[in-house]
Amino acid sequence: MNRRRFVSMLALSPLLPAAGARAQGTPAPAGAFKIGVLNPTTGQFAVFGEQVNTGIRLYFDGIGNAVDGTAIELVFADTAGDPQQALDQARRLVQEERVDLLMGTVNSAVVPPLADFAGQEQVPLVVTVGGARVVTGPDRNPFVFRTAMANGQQDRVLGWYTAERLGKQRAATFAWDFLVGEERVGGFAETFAAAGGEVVAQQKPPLGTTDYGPFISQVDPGSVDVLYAFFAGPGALAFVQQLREFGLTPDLQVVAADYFTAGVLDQMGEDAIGLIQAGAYTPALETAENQAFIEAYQAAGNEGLPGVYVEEGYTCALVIAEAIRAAGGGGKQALLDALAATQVTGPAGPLTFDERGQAVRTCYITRVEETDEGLAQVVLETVENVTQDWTP
Amino acid sequence: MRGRGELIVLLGAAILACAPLLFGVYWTNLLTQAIIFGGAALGLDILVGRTGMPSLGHGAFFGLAGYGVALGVTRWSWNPWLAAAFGILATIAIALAFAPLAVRARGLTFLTVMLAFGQVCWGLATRGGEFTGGENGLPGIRRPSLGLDFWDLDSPDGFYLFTLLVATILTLAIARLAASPVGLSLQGIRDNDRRMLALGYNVAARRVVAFVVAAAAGAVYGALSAFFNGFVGPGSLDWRLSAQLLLSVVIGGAGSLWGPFAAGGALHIVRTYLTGETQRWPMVLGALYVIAVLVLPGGIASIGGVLRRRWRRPRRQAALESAP
Repeated sequence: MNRRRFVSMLALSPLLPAAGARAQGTPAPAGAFKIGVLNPTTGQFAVFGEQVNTGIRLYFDGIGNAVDGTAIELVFADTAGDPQQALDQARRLVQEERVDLLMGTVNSAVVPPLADFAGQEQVPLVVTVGGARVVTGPDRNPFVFRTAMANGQQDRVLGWYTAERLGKQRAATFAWDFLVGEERVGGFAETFAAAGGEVVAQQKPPLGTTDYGPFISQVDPGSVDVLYAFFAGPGALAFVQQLREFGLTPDLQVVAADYFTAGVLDQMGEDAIGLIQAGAYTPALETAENQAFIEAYQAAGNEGLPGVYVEEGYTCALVIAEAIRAAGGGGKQALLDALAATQVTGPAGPLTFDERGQAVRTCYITRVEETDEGLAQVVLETVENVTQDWTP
Repeated sequence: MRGRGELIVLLGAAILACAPLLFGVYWTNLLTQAIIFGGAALGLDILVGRTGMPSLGHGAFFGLAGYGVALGVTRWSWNPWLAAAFGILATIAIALAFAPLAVRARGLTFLTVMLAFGQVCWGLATRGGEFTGGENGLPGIRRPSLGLDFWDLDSPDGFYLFTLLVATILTLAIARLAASPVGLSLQGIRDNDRRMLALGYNVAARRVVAFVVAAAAGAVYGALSAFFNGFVGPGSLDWRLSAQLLLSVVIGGAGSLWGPFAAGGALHIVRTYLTGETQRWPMVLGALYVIAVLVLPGGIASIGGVLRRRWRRPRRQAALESAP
């Protein structure tokens, strides 16, 4: 091939695909609705991703993997919690597997690029956990919905509760130094201040820290009457232990978002007793939906009670299945309209979407107490219809 | 000889240019990324294979240019072309500033210095708060426009061919440099830098040249990657990306240029598929590396030579045995 032919080819090739037929990816079986599930099953968020996937499988298995005769086909992919890998896998799911809808994500960082991608490809994306506020903000694209609470959504309720109901005035906040921590502390501080409280110290340990000594020692216990914390997993575990070692607890009340004790409650043991959390779910709810959920969870061979991540996966699957039912095979726009009009009651209570695709849910304020069955989160207060910009 | 190398590059580019006709959107996108990672590995080969300076921080230049582009487009609302120029030139400037320091180190020390450099960049990006988007990175990067009706960079095919065009030009430039007296002197430095010094060559200056050329190539592909993804995150500055590029050079065959290009591209494709099927991608990468070192010390690029020797040896032996 000579150079001239190569150049003419290069100039022509963008034209040709439009004219000619192109190789397509694997087509979905006739009539099946394909859902691409993007959760981390490796990396530091793997344990949470697996739980979300458990919840998703649990729901779809429960309805026989079909909605009104339409088969549901799940295609799982691993994001490893990394935005770049999540994008690569989303591209594979949409462009090769030809999925009709994307769901998933655990960590916030993955959400904004995925939301952009969903907008470009015009594929509906229902976010399971990742709370990045921007995707349900004013510039939200119409293909994105989130069934979990946005970062700060439950923290807003917590801020109000801490000042109004607990009567606390001066708070020190501890949160990992990344955007999620910032958005959560921001939510807490806003309603806390509106109800007469004041955040007097903000400590920002680096993400993943497990030695909080240098940060705890900077807060004068005499100057505050409540501590707000946003950590998770081993970080949260180390934090409650070190608070006790530094003598701040049990005298000072600790309040936190619900992810704080997720998966580590039993390991925290006595250190967790009295801890107040705000969240979208606790297995202690005595509704029929929650009992059915717990029974299904245990019938599937799982030990103990389902945590919040299992519930998030389950509820997200429920919302999607109901939207498919309501759309009745009416195509993409019908599905988006059905999602926007969602009105379901899941294990955690009722769920609808606001005009920006963010779930409006019930927020439960719970306290960790010793019960006959070990440590449990007992509901202190139920706040209904909590929006992402909730105020009392 | 020089003409032949160029012809091979152009022939390869012509074959790759046909890809959108044969494959669907997905493979076109996958090949775009393969060219980006392959090209970055080829650029790194100038430093690692030709000059003998293994770097474990090359991803930093890839990521820095991406961040430059992202900041320009999303923070300062610049034209994407201007942002691209800024990202690439700023990265080259940083490389130029850092090079005199870095090239004082050799071998393992250089590797570690570059790892540290990459980690500093990664740390700045993740701790940059609002400005760099922290852990979340910077989404929402618009692609530039060529202003041509038949060539739309927002379409997968259009961007693929643009990437291919840039990669072809860059590869021709790097191949020409490698074959030039400067390129040959780089090999001399790799093989025996004291002797080159004794012969009167300015070894440090030539090392800087190799360092900056490799960084510039990394920057160009980093900018392309930012436009392709519409997103830049700290993952693009992660040492694991640097490791993948360095392994691409080793597995492809250090010094051969085309080997690292092929390996870099192939690794990305294999990775995308394997992460869908298994959670053991790092293990697979490690195994490939071990196999490459044990079986093919010269990398993919040496396969031809190895096979030829295998083929010749039995014949020669047969000839010896049949001799009286």
